[in-house]
Amino acid sequence: MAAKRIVIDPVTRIEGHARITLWLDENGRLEDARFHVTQFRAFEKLCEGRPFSEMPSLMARICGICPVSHLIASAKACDQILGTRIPRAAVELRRLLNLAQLVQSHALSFFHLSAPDFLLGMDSEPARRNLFGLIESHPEMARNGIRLRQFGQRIIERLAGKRIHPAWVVPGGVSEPMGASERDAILAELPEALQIAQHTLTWFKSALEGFREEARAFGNFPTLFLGLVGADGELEHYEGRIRVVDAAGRVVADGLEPERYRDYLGEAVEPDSYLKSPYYKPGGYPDGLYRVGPLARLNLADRCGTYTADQEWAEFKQLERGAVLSSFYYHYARLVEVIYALERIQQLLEDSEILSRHVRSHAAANHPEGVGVAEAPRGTLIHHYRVDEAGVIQWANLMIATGHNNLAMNRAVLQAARRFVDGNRLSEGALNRVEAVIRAFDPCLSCSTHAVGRMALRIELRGPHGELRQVVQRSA
Amino acid sequence: MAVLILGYGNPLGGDDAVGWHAAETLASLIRHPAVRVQACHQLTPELAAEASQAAIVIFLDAAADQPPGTVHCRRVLPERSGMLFTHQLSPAALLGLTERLYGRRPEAVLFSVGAHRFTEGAVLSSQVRNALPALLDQVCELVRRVLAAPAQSPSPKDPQEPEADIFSVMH
Repeated sequence: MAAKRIVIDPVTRIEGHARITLWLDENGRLEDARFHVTQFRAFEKLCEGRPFSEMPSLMARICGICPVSHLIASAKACDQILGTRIPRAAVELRRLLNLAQLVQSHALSFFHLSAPDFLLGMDSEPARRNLFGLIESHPEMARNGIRLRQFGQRIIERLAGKRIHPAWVVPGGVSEPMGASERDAILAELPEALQIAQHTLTWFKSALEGFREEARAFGNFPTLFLGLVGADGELEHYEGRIRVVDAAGRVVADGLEPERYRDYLGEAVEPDSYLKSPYYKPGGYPDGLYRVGPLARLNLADRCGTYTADQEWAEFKQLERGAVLSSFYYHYARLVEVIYALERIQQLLEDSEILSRHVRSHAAANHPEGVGVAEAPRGTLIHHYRVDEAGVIQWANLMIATGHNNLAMNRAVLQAARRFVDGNRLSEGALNRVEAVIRAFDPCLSCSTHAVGRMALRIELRGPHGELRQVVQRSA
Repeated sequence: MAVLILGYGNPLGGDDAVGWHAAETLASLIRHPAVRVQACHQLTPELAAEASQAAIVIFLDAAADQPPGTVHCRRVLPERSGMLFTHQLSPAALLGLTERLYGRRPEAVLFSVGAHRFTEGAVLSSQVRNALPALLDQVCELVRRVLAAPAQSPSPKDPQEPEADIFSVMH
């Protein structure tokens, strides 16, 4: 039994509410570590009894940061219930929306949540180690983050009418076509966004040398990687099939049908977290742990499929032989994906089909079941619904991107805590590194629109009999 | 852009949504190229970029600390400290961010509506709903006065510079 327990509650600069518990032995050495998600949402039960046509809008309420991802996965599941093929323009518009979401979400993660660690230092004064400290010391970087995020949000607003919880994506397609003026406005802003993304990636690559220890100990272990890839093995966020690769970069499974995810993915439940623990069934639980998201996607793909991103991808792959294993490189992968997304947005907008007026197919419920799978910024997102003859939802199952990474996040916390935390002498910088491991995964715990108050941090170190030995406190 | 109107709140949060509803209505009432109206859940850092382009920012929000159904208007000045939370900012913090990042300090006012029912749901309480017309009238009147006044740029950051006249049209 562990002698001491350290609780980091809440974990800061992530999307949602979570805590980390570290268990130490009598000598102050780390015995175990756990990442707990403490919020409970229950959307799968809430939607039972609702018409399936309401699902995209209803499911978008899961999150204020990535509602578009839920809209798209939900609409794809509903497309299957309709049993109709949606117009090509609608596919392209949804794809455009999904990429805009990826840009704004990755910008939030990199610039607002994690850049303070990179630029101000993991050990810097916690009161300044945030966006506002960044503004004081590196205003250009802060402005670039705001500008890139604004670019993605404006696309969402132009297409869907509003930035958060848009209802434009519907079963069968999208509700309105895009106008030429909207397309031209996005194209006019693209060069600046691309320049910011390239400039930031160049800087980040030059700064990597200063984070060798973090790269070594931030979730750096062999796992499987899982996600969608395109028909030719290219980076894919909207369609495609599931590929699984191992730590050596070998393809373990390819061409898996996303709709049959239950054949190869299991979900375990741990008593101390509301986040499920998915695993790859052939590997068993918990050895079948895998990672999803930007790092996984770059490990899975044979190429990105756009000019600059392909060059950056090739350089990224040089980091390690086989798959890139350190979770610290999620940040790097995020920036490569932003470049890809911007180039792909340009390709989509330069296709005349994008302005087609035919953007929706209409049908009644023709099938009792639908599965929608897309790549959200944080990884593979699965919506699975069953309906009755009237199209009323009877059952729903969601596999959220952050959930896929649950086992890996727990192992990553343990690894980082072993490397950085001395139980006999807590330091704020060491505990920040444990939090920063979680930030590398960019978990989205779906509270951003309902957060009340400010996040503070208080860490207590207690002795075997519960006596308070040391407190490290970060005020809000 | 002369005027930026930001109405914010959770549309599923009962009376919390009054600013959001007001902005949605104003977006259809005010169609002028110099006025941008935006309804949002909360004030986020990227709004600083838009605020920096405005001569005046009008914030619309619910207030739990004033009598339900009352409409108050007060000037907002930039806050320069204590801004630690990156998801949601106060109007003063957003102005402080605008000033720090872009060297611009737009004039700003906050219209607040006294609210009391913050339970989940998309319906405003009757007291808050009844206050909406007065809120809209006051905002429209301010916008009319701003548009009629000589054009102003956002105030520079230098505190030695004279304040823009645009705020005086409110009095």
